[in-house]
Amino acid sequence: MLLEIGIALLKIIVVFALALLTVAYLTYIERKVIGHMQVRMGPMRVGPHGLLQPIADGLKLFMKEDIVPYEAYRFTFYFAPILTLVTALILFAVIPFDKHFAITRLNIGVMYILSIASVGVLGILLAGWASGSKYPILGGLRSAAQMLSYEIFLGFSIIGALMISGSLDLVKIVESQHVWNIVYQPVAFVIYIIAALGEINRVPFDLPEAETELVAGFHTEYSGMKFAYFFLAEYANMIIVCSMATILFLGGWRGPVLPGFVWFLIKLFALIYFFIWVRATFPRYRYDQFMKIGWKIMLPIVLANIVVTGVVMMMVQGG
Amino acid sequence: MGLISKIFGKDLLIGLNRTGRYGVSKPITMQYPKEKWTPYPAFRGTIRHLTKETEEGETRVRCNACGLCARACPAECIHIVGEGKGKDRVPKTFVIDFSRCLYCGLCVEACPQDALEMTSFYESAVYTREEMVFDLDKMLEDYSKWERTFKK
Repeated sequence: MLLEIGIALLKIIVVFALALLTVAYLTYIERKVIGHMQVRMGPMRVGPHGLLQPIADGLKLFMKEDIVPYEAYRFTFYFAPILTLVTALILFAVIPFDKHFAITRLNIGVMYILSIASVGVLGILLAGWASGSKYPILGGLRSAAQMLSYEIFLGFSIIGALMISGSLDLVKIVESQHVWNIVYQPVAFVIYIIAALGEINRVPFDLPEAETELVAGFHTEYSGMKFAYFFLAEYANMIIVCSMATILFLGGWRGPVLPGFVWFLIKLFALIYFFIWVRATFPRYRYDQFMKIGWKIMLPIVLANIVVTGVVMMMVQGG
Repeated sequence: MGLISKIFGKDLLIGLNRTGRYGVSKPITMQYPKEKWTPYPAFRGTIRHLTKETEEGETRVRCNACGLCARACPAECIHIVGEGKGKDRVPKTFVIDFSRCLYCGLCVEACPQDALEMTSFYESAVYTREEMVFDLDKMLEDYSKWERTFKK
């Protein structure tokens, strides 16, 4: 009993330490990659090739003054970033990095991730509302509308993969993929990536924090560590959606020669690189167009995809 | 753009291709205090005073305080007071106010003795206005020793 608890605690510590370190260094990777895509160098001064930059940023944010606006709802203002970060981090609990390495194995892992991820929206909405200022509340409202509508076809887009795998257990989903699901579900994969970009508020769908329109959106009034929480949550969410894509469509830890978790990390970071690449390339969508492609284009395609998948499966398996 | 290329996101792929190719190219950033730009030969930097060897073997300033440079200067930033007659005439004071100088090089052109020279020194930022005013001694120094260096 004690041994089991010890092992579980050790797993939690390892996963969370690595997750937080990766999240911190994602900011560095993002700045470097975008810098090079703009023929700049990115951070270069703090440590060799700027490698200590995330630590310097963290220290700076940690030592900043804790400012709460006069009109803010104090408790909610403090509570919102914590909620966002916690919901982002507890998602790591079910991600299987290798066949036997996950903090816990839930038989409804996909369900768990989708439901907890939608609680994360609440944090952003609360942050926008509690700031007591115009820009954050607009950002928060946009974020709520965006995340609700994009979560719908995010959920639908993975149904095709779930139908083929026949399970909601993340480990079983990977084990069922002798051929990667992306081969059977290319449309669903593309739509999953688009929905994921919308879900985690990244360019080209970063409407809740559109700098040109809303200053910084829902975190306009936040500074110091509370701002850092939002930042960490955003990057943690990025890792989560990329791991989900890896597990559902790219065969998780499956791959020749190298050990499983290496394959998992290779696929994960390839996807993260793609997300950063997209950020360096595309401008932001207009809000009404963004809603239009969500409801009028993506949703019908995803529904058609589910129908086609079902029909083909019936024909192949002979009912 | 046809419907097919629209469905496959041809325009998006063109954009990704462009940024992707720039992503692997070499950055053009010059990390200033570490790396330095070498000015072109005709670069007009801070003006310097030259010396000459006389027949007796002593070094003295080339300037004979004729005042043509001060007349040529459109910004009126050169002030000269000469002393002595004929060949022995030397400047008593020779001051260029570099906070007014526009680095046009007309004084260098005007000088019949070739006593002035435009160097390639461009890191001339200082903390006070007084430091911008260069007298004769300062203009005889080697400017390269004031170049900024990157300290770790």
